[in-house]
Amino acid sequence: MDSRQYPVSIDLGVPESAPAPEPPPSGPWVWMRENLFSTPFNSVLSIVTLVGILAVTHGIIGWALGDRIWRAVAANARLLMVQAYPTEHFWRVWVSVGVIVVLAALSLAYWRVGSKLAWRELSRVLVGIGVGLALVSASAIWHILGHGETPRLTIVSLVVGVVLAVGAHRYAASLGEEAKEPRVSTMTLLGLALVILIAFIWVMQAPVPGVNEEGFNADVWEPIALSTKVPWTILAVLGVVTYWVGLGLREAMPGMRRVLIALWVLSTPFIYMVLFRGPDIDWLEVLTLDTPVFLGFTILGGLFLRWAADPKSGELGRFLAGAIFVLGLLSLPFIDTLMLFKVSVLGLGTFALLAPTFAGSPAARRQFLVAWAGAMLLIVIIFRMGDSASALGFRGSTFLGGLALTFALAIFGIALSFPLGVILALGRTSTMPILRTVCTFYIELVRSVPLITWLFASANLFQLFIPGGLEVDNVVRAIGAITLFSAAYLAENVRGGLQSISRGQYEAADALGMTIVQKTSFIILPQALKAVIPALVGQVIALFKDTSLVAIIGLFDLLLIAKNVIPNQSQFLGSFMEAIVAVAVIYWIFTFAFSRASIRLEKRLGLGTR
Amino acid sequence: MPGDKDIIVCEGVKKWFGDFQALHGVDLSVKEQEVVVIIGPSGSGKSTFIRCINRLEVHQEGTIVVDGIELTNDLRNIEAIRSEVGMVFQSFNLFPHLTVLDNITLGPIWVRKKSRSEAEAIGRRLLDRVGIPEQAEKYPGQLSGGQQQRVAIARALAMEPKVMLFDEPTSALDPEMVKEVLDTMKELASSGMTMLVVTHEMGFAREVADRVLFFDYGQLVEAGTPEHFFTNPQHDRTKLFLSQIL
Amino acid sequence: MASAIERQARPPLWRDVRILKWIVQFVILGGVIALILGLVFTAQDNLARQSQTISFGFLSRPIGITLSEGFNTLPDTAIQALGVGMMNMLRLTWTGILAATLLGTIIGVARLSSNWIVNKAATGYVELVRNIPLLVQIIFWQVAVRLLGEATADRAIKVPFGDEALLYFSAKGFAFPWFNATPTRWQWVAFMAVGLFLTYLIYRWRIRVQEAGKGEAHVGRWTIGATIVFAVLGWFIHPIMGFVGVAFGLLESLAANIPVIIVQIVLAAVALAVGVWIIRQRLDQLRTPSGYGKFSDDDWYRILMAGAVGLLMALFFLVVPQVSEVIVGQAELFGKRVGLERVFGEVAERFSFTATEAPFDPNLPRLAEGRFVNYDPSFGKVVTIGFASMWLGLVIYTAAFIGEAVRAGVMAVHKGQTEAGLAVGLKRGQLLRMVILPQAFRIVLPPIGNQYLNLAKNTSLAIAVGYSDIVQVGQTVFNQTGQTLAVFLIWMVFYSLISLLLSSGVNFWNNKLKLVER
Repeated sequence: MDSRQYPVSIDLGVPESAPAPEPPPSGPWVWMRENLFSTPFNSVLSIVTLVGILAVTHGIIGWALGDRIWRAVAANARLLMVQAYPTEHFWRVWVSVGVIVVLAALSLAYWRVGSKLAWRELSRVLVGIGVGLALVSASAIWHILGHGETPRLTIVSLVVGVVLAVGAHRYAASLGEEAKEPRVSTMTLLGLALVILIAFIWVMQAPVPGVNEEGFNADVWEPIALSTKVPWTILAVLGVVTYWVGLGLREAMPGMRRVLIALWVLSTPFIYMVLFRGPDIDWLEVLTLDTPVFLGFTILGGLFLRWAADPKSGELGRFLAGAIFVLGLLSLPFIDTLMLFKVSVLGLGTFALLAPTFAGSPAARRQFLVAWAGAMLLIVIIFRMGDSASALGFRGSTFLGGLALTFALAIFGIALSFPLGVILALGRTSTMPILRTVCTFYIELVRSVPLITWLFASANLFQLFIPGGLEVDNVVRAIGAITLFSAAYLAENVRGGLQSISRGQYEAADALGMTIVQKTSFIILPQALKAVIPALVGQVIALFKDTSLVAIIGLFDLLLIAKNVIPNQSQFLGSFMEAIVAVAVIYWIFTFAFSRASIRLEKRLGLGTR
Repeated sequence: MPGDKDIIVCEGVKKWFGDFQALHGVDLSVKEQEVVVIIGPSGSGKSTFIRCINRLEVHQEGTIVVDGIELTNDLRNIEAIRSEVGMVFQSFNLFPHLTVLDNITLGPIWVRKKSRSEAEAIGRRLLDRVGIPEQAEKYPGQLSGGQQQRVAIARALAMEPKVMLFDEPTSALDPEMVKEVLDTMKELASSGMTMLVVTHEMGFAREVADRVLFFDYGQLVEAGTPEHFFTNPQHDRTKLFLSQIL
Repeated sequence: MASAIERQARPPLWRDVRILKWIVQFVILGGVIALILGLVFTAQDNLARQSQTISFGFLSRPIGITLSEGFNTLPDTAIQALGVGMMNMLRLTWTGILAATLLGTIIGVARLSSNWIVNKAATGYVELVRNIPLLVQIIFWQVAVRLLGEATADRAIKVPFGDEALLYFSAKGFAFPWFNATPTRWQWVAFMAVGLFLTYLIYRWRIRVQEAGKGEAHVGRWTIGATIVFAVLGWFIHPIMGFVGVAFGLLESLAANIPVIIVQIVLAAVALAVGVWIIRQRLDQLRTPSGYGKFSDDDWYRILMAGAVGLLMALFFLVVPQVSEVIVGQAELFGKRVGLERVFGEVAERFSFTATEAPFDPNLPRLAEGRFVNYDPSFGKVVTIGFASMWLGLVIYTAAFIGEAVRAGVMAVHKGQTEAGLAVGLKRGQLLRMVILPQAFRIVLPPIGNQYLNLAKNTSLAIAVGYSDIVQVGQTVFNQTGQTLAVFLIWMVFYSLISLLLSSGVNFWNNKLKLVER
């Protein structure tokens, strides 16, 4: 079969490739003729569009440089960032940001997020930035001269723009063919951008209304981040250092990824505690209630889990596990006892149900028991922290606001809606008809009604459905509404991923004898989630933008501050436009950065799959 | 050579797909260490039949007993049979997000409850046996079709099955890769594994099979030793089929 | 051989996978029901403590509320106010959808343009608009429009046109010339419907002439000409459509006098018929040449559910005559007649004009008498600042997403299609019109339908700029009456219906296109 007979056999060797023919002449004029003036219609279109763009930009710059009260934004920077969060508790905000920075830097290092850029690509961006800067500066100079003032700073920025554009272009040209090779690390660029940003905070000055001998309303020039430049610098350095440490750790401890994911999960309740509560812990209760509950559930529950995990206990183990789970579920509405007990029983039921799946071998069993002890510890701690009266003299809804609130809503919303969305998606694609009906009904109902009505429900209806006396913070309620809402959308995205997985994958897992839980968590979900990462990032961006809706139910996020607070301050009366434009710019920067990152991610994933 | 103990016994197995009856009552028993090759035109129910044996498809009437365990709705029996019957698919069905080694060790660790080190030792030994020990850390997408199918065989073997089912294992392969997979299967057969193979490779059937079965219209039309089967087929449909493919 | 098999007894229940599957589901269902019951009990407790009750009775009681705009800005009852809110929401939705589709298509085409600067300008538009939250944009437009308006608080800026004004602009919004409809417009519209049908027949006839090969048939000219002829004709002879009014008048008296039991029986029969139809569809899929194959659990579940729901609905109609009375219009709902009788009556009223009055009256905007700027609503078209900012925000935002969908759709048409078209010898324009666009349209339709849904839901942001849509009105209503839950349920039903309508419309077109493909 293998000995194929060819009628003629000539040894041609591998043909040498001839040099490619010379590319056609190129240059700016050729380029313009091809891309702007190829037909008369195109020429007209190009000129009209160009004039239109220039006129609009020039107009906007003129408006911005005109009689505007930009001081209103500069002076209210703190308000826009954290609203009225008490100054003496700012360390709580910094700690929260610090936790996120450290985790983000470690994750960047562990998942090798950085990639290499070609100089050519980079120089294009730099030329674009340079030309844009030069054009804006030129327009600004025109306006400033029109006011009869001397444009000093703008001339500098004009020169910088021109130098940047020309320099980047010349450098890329001088590299020749080399410019096409990916050389520049994106992480280095990110670091560089960070350094420039920090330098900017220290050097750049903005007019702030200050109290000096001439009167209240006089402007004082101060650095942009007046009171926060030191902490920001420390955080930036911390980020860079942890990134390097992470690179080192990655070699030393490759198994850290799981720990990192766990830390991300834990960071959300931690940040919540730090930001909103300073629990005044009743140590007597800790001794008399928490410790016994923890020990009891850990030891007795652990013994039960150990037994249930043993293959010998068979169906009886599963039956008991299911019974405990159902008991925990039913106890939530029907049994009047401490929530701590109910949740612990529910947790034990869940663990017991998973025990035969995950705790087969003795080594796995030990890990599983440790995980159970950890989970119990977490349950007890969270309940203790949540139940104790807060020693802080403020409540989150009134004091946390601005960008911090936006991020809090977004981060908590994503962290909580993600698991719920995955469960709903699994339910909707399940072969079990009742489960499928329930999940489909939930998803479609939530999606057909706008978010704002759910937010109204959280603000006005929520107290109807919780036992009397219990008071839940506005922010927490909004997070709840956002979570329930965005879970339905996430579920639809995840469903797309689940449906993209071939039947063969399910069958192969079945043929190996895997249980449903194993099949789902080792085979199906990892692939499904990877397939829909771009859609998920899109959903995250949508959620980030949607947080602005909480302004309507009266939470002081960026938008409400810009709409109702800043324009009504006596010294900045009527600065509506300035404030709203500033907020739009803040949102734009973050959302644009997210979407760019998502595009890069998509490209990388596209390269990785076959 | 086959032993004398029956390891698979099927009696009157019937199966419908909605409006279509795929199996019209199949009776078959397979001895330990026997190699059975199933041939037949496409749509004849041969794939459906072997997929019923590890319950990827659920037969609706009749009885299937594997190693003394009857395939019923009993959870315990299904779990037991799935881990005793290995399966190799036409389209490999490797898990693309896991490395070759992880593909192989997944079953031993989570289903057979072995420790990771033990499972990895088994995995490396099996990769050695199917002739690709150097590919352990790669992802399935980086391998050729033939290599992927050999990984799939190793993955099934890692469960230490008593029976191996092959569902057209070479149909999705380029011609020059068929041989490497068939060689692996021959080696496996000579080591005494009980095998049920659905294939169109008549050369393999002639060389390795203890028995050849011919399926048509969901029925087991004819069975016999390769010599008998290829030289002196009894049934008209068998003759027609053989004349078309040989 | 048979001796080798010892048939096992049935497995115990707790090990039978088929039973287990259902046990798990019933446990989940039980959990969900328990959760809902728990919430309901808590709500009852809480309501009892506040000695409140949930009822929809408040809808028919008088309410003091002033709406920013709509067909009735001073409604008497809550239900009327909510009705105006719904109409305002729908107005915003359909005008927004039209404009966003138009702008979005332009943006999408510009994104695909080979002209560098047009391409980059469209990209810049999309990147700018897409990355700023819609609500921020709406507030931006509100501030921008209001700032212009506040500059002229005491008087309206006027663009003169002879003695009158072409445009007005003030804190009360814009006013511009418009064709204001007169009561006879419905007769004209009905006439046009008949006329368009006749035009379609003419179009078919000309196509046949063309295909018969008897020279140029001027299909386009005939079609456009016929449309214009019917439009002009209808302008003068629309009273001939008066028979529609007579017919509906008869229907009205029929609805008023029909015994309710007959309506009940008809409705019950329809419910049963739908159930039976669904079951038969299912059975048809499972039918085999030799009787039915084996049903899976899922098949049984669907058949039983369809049967049970159909039966329950039928019983409901038979046992509760009130529903039928309301539907037919013999009883009131929240103090208003909403049933068929009312509908027929309203239609009859709209087709009762015998004079050949013009259906539309073109006129210029006019200011009302008074100290402050006010527009006369019966002259020209007035657009409030609330509507303008909502509309601008929605259109500009949604257009960016529609543009992206259009671009993705065109790019998704396989390159091979272009090559095949060029190989057949089509010109670029023909290629686009006959090969690329039909295929792109099919790809684009589902995402654009999604954007329509988003736009409809985003109209709910109107509350931020004080435009009286259903959410804004609803909030005022529950602030006054305290019936939050009831209002919330109304919102839910209303938006679900709108979503259902829009998505079934998109699905309809999608299926139609799929059929064409075959």
